[in-house]
Amino acid sequence: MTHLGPTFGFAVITVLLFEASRALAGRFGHPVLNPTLVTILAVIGVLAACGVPYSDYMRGGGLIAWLLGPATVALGVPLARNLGAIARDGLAIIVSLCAGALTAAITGPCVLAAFGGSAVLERAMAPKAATTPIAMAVAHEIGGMPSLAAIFAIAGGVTVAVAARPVLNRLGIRDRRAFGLAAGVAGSGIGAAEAVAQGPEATAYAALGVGLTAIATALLVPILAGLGLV
Amino acid sequence: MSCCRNAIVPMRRPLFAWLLPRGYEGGRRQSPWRAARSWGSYAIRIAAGAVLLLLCLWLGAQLATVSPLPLPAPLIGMVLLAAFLAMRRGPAATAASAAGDLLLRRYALFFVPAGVGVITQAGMLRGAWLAIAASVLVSSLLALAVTSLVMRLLLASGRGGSSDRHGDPSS
Repeated sequence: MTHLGPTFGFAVITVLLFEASRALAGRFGHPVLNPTLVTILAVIGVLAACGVPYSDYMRGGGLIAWLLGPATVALGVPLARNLGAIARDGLAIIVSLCAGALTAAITGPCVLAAFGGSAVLERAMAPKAATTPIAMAVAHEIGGMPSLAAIFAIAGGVTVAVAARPVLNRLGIRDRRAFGLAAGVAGSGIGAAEAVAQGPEATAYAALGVGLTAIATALLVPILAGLGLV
Repeated sequence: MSCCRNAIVPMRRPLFAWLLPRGYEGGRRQSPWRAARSWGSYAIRIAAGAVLLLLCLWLGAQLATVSPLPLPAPLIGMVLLAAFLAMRRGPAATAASAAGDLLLRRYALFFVPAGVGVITQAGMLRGAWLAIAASVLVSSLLALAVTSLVMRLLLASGRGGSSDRHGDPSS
């Protein structure tokens, strides 16, 4: 019985903080108020204030993190729903997706190396465009640290979620398909959540971007690592 | 966010409105019996769909152990689910879609615990925080720009404009 308190308590706290930060984002609408970012900072604040170690938090947080697996499987739902659109724009999607996924996989480790980062960090940075469970698995595959890859993937996702609207407006991207795909490819799940606010077409292409980038990263990054590029 | 914007009476909308079936309007026009029945069938649908999602995940894990390519289990599960939904249009497919939609409506929440894990890696990150921040920023923004620009170029050169570009009300 003593275990049930912290287990469900931390899960409930996380969900409540996330709902509160969604309400905050909806109220003010500023891209910096990204719900994932705000919730992560709020939970870290709560843990620091109460002196709770991460391993204790994960007894409850683990329940929420576990849902990432089924939720990644669930990306198959919008994928199946948009098979017609995928067939129609297929070539454009595949080419721009591979361009984006390769850009992320190559420039990440390159910039890290330019600033003097270690090889361990580079191997965790390479698969960061993929959604977190995939990035962790690929990092493990090529000899990086999965826990670091998870953090980099989330940091990249938050970056994209915050920057998507200002940057894509500046670039003059009016097409919702291009917006959704770019947010999904560069920012995986957290980027896709930002595309949801742009309408169903952007959402479908973002889900497509998340799913196909995960496949492209899982196939391409081990090859890049084998060639010594990563 | 779109759910909150469309709500006519936002104050009366329950906090966990996203758990309700799509199109649920507060049940004022429904009798309690009808409401309970529709709730019950929705709950059963979600539970059955969740079982199907987990089955796809488990099958993905089994296939990942024998696959020659280094594909992670959730990814194989995703492809299996998409193939299943594309081939079948029965109650099982409806249930899996409903459960999947429910999960995807809070996809961003499931990243939070792993993100909080940054506090365990503080020592690892402290020495190289500038390199990491620069790398994450540059590569994420470049990937965002490259993907969107290439996509726009290819859509414009092909049959661009075949899709209805509805205006963006939020920006």
